[in-house]
Amino acid sequence: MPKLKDMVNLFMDPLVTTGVLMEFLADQFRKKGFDDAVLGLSGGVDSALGAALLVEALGPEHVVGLIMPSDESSKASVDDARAVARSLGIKCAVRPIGPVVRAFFKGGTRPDRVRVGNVAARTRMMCLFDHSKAHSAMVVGTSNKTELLLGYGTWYGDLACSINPLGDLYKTQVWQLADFLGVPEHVVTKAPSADLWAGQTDEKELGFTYAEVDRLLHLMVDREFSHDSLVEAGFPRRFVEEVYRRIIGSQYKRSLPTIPKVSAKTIGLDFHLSRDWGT
Amino acid sequence: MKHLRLAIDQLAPHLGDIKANIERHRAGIDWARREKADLIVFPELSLTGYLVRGMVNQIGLAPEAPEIEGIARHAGPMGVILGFIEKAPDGQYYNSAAYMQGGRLQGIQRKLILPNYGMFEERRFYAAGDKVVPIDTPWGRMGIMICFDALHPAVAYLHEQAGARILVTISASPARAIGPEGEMGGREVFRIAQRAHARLCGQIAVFVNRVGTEEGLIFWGGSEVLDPAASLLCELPEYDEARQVVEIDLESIERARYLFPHLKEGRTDLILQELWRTRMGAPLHAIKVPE
Repeated sequence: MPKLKDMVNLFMDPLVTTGVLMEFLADQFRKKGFDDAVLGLSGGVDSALGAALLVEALGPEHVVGLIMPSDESSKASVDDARAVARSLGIKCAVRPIGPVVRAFFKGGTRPDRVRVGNVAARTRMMCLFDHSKAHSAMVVGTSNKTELLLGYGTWYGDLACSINPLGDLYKTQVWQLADFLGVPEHVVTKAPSADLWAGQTDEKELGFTYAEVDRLLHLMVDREFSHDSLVEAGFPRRFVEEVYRRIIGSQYKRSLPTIPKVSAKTIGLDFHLSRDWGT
Repeated sequence: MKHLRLAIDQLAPHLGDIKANIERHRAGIDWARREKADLIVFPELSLTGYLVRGMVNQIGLAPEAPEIEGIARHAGPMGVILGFIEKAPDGQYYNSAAYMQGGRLQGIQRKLILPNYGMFEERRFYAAGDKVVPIDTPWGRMGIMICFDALHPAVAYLHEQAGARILVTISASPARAIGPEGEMGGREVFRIAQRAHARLCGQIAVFVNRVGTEEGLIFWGGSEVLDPAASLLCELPEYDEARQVVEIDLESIERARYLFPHLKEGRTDLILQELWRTRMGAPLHAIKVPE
């Protein structure tokens, strides 16, 4: 009998999914009173899909992509980001962040590459939110569900945004949808990378492939299988435990700061107000 | 009366903006009047939006509130079913459906079963209704279910037992779990339930589901009207605001019930007896099969 892990089908009808996400985007922009969107374009598939969805929902004239290479970014990434903007017909601007990151660390202790990566991500966040204020454009995030669940992102860096249309799509689903929406093939098929140092790829750094971990996350999170059932389904126990540990350990990145309750109505606990109230 | 000209209007309410929503209801009623409709049905919580959460007390309306009365007066002789948050004299708030006709509120059906799992948290904010309220309209007895009620066969059965010939479900069902063939969690279960209610309870089944988005919830619409053979009489598109009038042959109910007379064999006495017996702790006498 084939193992359950090989039977998981993460494919979502792309037409229906695109329709739902467009509906969400068009409505959110109308409700929040924005005509325009800004997002970071890395040259990767997530930001390319985010831009493609925004173009479908708002039209290309309402979408701006900021390309923000650091000293560590590869030239190929910048070229890919430009290619994405060109193929969608959206405006893009290149804002190298190397000087800001260098100035930040000047005179201090020599930072490790995680610190450099975090400061780079938070510098990009500042550029995006500054553009937002200057041009009345809503900052749209493009972290996918796999990254969000694994905590593979910088808190208040690339995770910071007003809305995120990709947050409920696993990486493999991002690939499917990007392919459907005509994102340049090379951008869809290249190895995903946070581009924090030369030769870095996500899958090398994480120690597993997206195809594997997405199937595990789907069964663990969406379908709530027990760890024993997941091992029976064909996943190595160490893999199951490692992924579980990552999810638990990164919950802080997915929550508001914890506030201790001393009053009658406490933000984050029992002050229940929808963001869309009155829109 | 032999026919009911029924209008369904799957609108997208503005969350928390009662004034804008009243305007939208009035526009729907004006359109229905031009279409010579007898009755118009709006979705669940159509006056308030869905994710009202901690604001129920700011937006809840007493049944005699001028907002409710104003809509009823505007509709005049036309029947109206809409969804609102009912502020009750006991200090509780209910997710309720209002039935209006003849220029006034005629009755209220409170939601009986509040979803409280996953993305739903209605029991935190609402009290649950405690009875089915049959409504005798000029087109026959009507029962109203609110969203999650319709996913409980027992609620549809109670309406059938109360004599409903037309079963109206008003809904705020969000899309979820999109599959490879475009199938979608929320829709599949309501499609099955509506067909079962129509066919097994011998009723006209009306389903009006809202559209629009709130926070990350995307409501899918897809309202429909089925005859007692579960054949589709009218269907609205998904995700977009839409409305339509459908002419319902009320004699189709008696015809369907005569041709498929299973309802007359219903054993209410048996159901009552077995529920009572087992709820009182009497042994079920389940048969044990050796392993």
